[in-house]
Amino acid sequence: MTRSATGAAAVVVAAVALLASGCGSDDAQKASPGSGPGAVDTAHLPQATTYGTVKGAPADPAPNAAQNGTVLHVTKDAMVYDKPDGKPIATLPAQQLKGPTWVPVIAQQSGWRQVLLPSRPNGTSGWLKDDPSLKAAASSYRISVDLAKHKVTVTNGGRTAGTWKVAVGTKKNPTPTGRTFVLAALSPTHPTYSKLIFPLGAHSNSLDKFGGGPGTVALHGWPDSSIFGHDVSHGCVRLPQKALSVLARIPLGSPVQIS
Amino acid sequence: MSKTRPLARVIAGAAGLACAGAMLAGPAGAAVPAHTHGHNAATALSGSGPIALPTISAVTFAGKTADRSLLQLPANDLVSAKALHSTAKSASARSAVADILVKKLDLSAHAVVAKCVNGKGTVDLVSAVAHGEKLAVSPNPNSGVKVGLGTLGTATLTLNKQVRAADGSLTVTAIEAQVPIAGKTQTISISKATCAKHEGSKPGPSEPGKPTKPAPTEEPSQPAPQPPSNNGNQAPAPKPINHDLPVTG
Repeated sequence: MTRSATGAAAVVVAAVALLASGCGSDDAQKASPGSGPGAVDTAHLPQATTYGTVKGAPADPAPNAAQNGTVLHVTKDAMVYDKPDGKPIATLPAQQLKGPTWVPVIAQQSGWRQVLLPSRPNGTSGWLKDDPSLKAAASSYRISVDLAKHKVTVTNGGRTAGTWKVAVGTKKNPTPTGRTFVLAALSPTHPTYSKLIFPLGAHSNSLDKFGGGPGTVALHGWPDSSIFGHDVSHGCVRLPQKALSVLARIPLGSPVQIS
Repeated sequence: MSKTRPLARVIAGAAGLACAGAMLAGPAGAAVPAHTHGHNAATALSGSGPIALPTISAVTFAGKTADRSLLQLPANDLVSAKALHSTAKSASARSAVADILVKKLDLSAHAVVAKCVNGKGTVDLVSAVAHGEKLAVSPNPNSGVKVGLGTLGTATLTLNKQVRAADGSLTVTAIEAQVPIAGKTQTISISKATCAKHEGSKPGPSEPGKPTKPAPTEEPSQPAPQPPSNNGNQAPAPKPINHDLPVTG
């Protein structure tokens, strides 16, 4: 069957309509010279950070599955591949937001580990080749965010370390679901609403940028308790200030499940 | 089974996806439970990508058998289905969807069932037809059916998709449809079950004796026979970095 010109037009209209609807992210995809067929220019690969998009990266194969808590400390810039022995798609720098890089392992096979990446789109993953500069460790912490119940629960070794009523994203700018991880622990220079902010490896699906940032979703405190139990944020999860002391103990790379 | 066929009609569904997603996010979306921990879990219908599809009938075993059903999907232009049921038990998980029709992909089935028992997965596709071609009742793991979309690329149906996680647990998805939309990939997963492998059992696909069919465009993860070698090292607590990042408030 040959697609008709009418069908082709419908394709374009549909694609444009989707972007205009706000359902998708219309962030400009910076072309990577190495992403096309043929030769790969690794010198110009994108960096896998919260600021960028990694084209050609495999999606998280099981976004609702539990993670086993294996985290990988990237002590030296690492090449990211689309599959074991596959094509380089990005570099994973040894620093994220001026801190160390820790990412969660979601699968592995001989000599390779698949990790979640902090870049857009949500659920972006990549494969890292085993190397002495990659240090594996275990995190016994799990963070679960129940959007419908407006509840965050932190467990440590299966035991509840804390559970709080929280505020989440609005219907217009919802908190994205799926599994992600704690990307960083930041102490703002001039804290206004929270003395600690924990960016996740996830981004708003409705906002390409926010407040000058790349739309990164985070866990952080909030001084006004009246908002807890409501959908009020632009995607971040606002917690009581007392939760920060628990969050501060959670290793980077630890699993976060948002449902 | 790997066939590439033009399918212009599938594109017409793209514009309807957003509306369908919004419609589905109503009562069915509100029924989604916490799905946060435990190895054995099941989901009747879910999606990801540029269109936010709600997760339907998702359950996780958390010390006792979990069941969830939805009699019928709310009417929408994208997908119709009845009797969406999932159950997660201590050693198994199962999800089933009846009379499903994904109109724009020409995909229909009387029943789509995914089962996962002790780390092994099976799929049953009853009277399943994709773009006029009957699908195998018990397809081999990770069978791929490619559907040409002209200049937009290729949609992929992965049948009996099996992905083993680092902890040895297996996730089997009866049908996973991946459709390129505006340069991104929209995924629709029909009947998914995840279960852990008990000690002493051998990991692997459920039909090891049969050849694996051509891989889909996005390759699933391979089995992980060995646990990650973290040597028991516990990751340290972070040291907060004095740095500013505007986040989504």
